Amino acid sequence: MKNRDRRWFIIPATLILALFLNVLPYPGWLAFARPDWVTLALFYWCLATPQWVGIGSGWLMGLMLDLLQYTLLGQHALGKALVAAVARPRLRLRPLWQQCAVVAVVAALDIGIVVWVHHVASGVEVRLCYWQSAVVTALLWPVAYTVMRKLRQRSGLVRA
Amino acid sequence: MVSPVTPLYRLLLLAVLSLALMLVDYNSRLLAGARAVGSVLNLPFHGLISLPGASRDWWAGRESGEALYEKYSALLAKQAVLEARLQRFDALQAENRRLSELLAAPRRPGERVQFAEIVDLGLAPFTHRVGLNRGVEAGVHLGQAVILPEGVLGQVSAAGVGRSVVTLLTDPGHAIPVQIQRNGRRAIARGLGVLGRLELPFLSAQTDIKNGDVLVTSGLGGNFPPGYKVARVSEIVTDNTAEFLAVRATPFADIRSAEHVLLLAVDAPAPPSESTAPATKSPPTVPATKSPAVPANSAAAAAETAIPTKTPVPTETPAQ
Repeated sequence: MKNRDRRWFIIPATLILALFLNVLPYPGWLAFARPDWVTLALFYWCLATPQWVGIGSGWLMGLMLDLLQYTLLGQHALGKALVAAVARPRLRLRPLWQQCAVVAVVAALDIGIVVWVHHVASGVEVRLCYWQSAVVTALLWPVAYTVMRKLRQRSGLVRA
Repeated sequence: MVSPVTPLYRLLLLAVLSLALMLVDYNSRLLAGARAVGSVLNLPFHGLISLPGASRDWWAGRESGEALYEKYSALLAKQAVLEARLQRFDALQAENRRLSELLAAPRRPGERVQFAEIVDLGLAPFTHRVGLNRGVEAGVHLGQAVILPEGVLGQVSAAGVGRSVVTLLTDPGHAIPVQIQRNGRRAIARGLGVLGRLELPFLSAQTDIKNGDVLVTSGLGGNFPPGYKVARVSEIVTDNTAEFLAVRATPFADIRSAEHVLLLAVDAPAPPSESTAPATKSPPTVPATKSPAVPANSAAAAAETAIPTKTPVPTETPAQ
């Protein structure tokens, strides 16, 4: 039991890895199609372990992103809190493609918030290509889900 | 957790908190300090991200002695040319200072430059911002002007530990006060979100502006010291029915070919302004009391006030 309790570090570890992947430089042609790893990781842990990861942790992750990407404090935080709020454990019972659809919608909302704040604050033009990232993120969800479930099972974390 | 109401309330609470944070962050500099402290958390991330680049640089740095020697002699030659040019600049600066003293114009504070490297911070691709590898520990501060050898690049919009962010002139939210070098006419150059393009709004149809005119910083607003090259006018659309001209300009600084930038630091303004402040204050009061007695002086006083507005123009032209 004690051994199992120590395995909780897999949650912050994957979240931090996701943060790192989010700020990693990408080649120019992938600029708008970069997957949002934080959304993927957050979504999974909210489904699997809602007793540990919830809206508050999502908000904190967003705040970390704001610090890392030098956006207005709260800009990503709001979007990630929304992601965490939508990722209810009930979704686990749904087939994977439906989960994909939810991820697509919530990632699009997240991007919408960030772009809208950029638009209001500094007049950035809103273009449809900014939402490519949401599609890529949703397409990656089955892979992320499988990999992270393996990780969770191997680390012995019981889901709620 | 089980109750359906609690998460909604929590989300609402955090949404309000986020909006409040954004408003404060946007409208004031209150959170700049908190951000600088918080950016300490970024250090391990930035270290890991720049690791591949750093190792590549290390590998590329192991050049052969011959190549290094060639590069070294080329740099020496370049420096000799620049130093020769600088001699003339020093003389001009001394002359300019004497003339300014004669005119009792406030002396412009000196400027220092600091070298910084452009780094990729994974910033949102639709904002025109780039990261630098210098932060608050190196004295980088909000609003600091950033230039390339060709011209002004932008200004610092966020400063953290070890890293800072530059908003480019072409960012849709950026505007810079400029002056036409030819005639000293002032204008504003606004970014459009398109690389290599600026817009000059609010220029009346009668404005004396031509294709190819060079725009320099005017020094208004205080963020950019006067006299630095900004852009060249590339397109003027005259519409007889419109009240304003539609003017486009191309910035001299091109971010696409830049690897290093220069951060402009205005030398501590306190000592020079304190020493010159009494000197600049007293002369205007003297002519003011004198002018009723000697009418000819008022014309001279008028000329005095007219000349300093154009000072960047004569100082810049001989340097070309």
